[in-house]
Amino acid sequence: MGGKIVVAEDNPQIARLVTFKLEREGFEPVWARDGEEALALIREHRPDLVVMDVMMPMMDGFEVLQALKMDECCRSIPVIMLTARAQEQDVLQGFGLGAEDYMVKPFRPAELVARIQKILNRG
Amino acid sequence: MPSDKEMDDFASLLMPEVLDTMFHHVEDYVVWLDSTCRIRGVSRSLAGLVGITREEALGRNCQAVMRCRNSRGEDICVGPLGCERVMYDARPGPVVSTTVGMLDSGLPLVSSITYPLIVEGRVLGAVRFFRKEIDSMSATPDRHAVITQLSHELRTPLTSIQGYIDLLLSGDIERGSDLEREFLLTVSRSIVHLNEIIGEFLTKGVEDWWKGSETRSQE
Repeated sequence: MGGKIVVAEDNPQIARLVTFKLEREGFEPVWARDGEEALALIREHRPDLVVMDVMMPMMDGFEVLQALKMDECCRSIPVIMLTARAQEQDVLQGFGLGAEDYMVKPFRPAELVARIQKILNRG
Repeated sequence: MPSDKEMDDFASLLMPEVLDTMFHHVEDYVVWLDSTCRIRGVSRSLAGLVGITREEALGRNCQAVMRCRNSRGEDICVGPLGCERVMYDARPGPVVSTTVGMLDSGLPLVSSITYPLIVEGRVLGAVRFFRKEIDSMSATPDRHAVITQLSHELRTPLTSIQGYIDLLLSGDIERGSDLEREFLLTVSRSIVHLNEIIGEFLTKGVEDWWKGSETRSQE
């Protein structure tokens, strides 16, 4: 198992947490610090999967997701939303825009990896 | 990059009937979209940037922005035909979203509505309006917005605490290592931060806390 994963997360501590765990599990994480950078890095790297925060500067995670799903080159890349936004309408919005999975913070790193592996194994 | 003629042609399509149809129910904003959908919107009430010229806009890294005025005399900016990425949300119906602390203009809370510009069945561009929500939200905080912001502020340090402790308990981190110390320090700082947020919320009440959260969003 492995693969390139873009981690879109504006909080450096959480980004460090996610990327550390992913590296330990054999993935190749690429950190994007805001929504704009995420969109650019996803288009550049064409990762196997994206882990996406919602509340980020420049573009929020929903906007990035929406942009990806309108992009021929990127629409098939699975996206896991990883966010503090836990209200039902947020979750529904995420899935409605095409997210593959939706995880609410705080989360367990091992569970995140399990969800990633499940998606990648299926694909 | 569209030529000047293409920009002019596009402008002629926009005025005035199309704009009135599209924007009749929108009040008090601002529009600014660039070719990569980067958010460049600024309200009329902020910084006066709506009056920018095309050259100024280009100088601000907006690759395809033009200035228009609708029949109500309102200035708007629009991404025209030829924008490389302007149509990501150019689909039937407006796309509505609320954003906290996102604009590099320093605007802490806006909602945006993006409309596809479709003329004779062809998608010619997209227009995004930003509505300033600061004043109304400060006076009477919207329940969803408050919960969203509070959830974000509380869950962020909680995420660090739980996540790093999980890593430390996993047995993957060597005891006494620099990594262990780094992770423990992160947990410690997150607990302090979380305590500050809870203290502020409990002592100030919802409305004062909300105003404070707006300020933090701009930092």
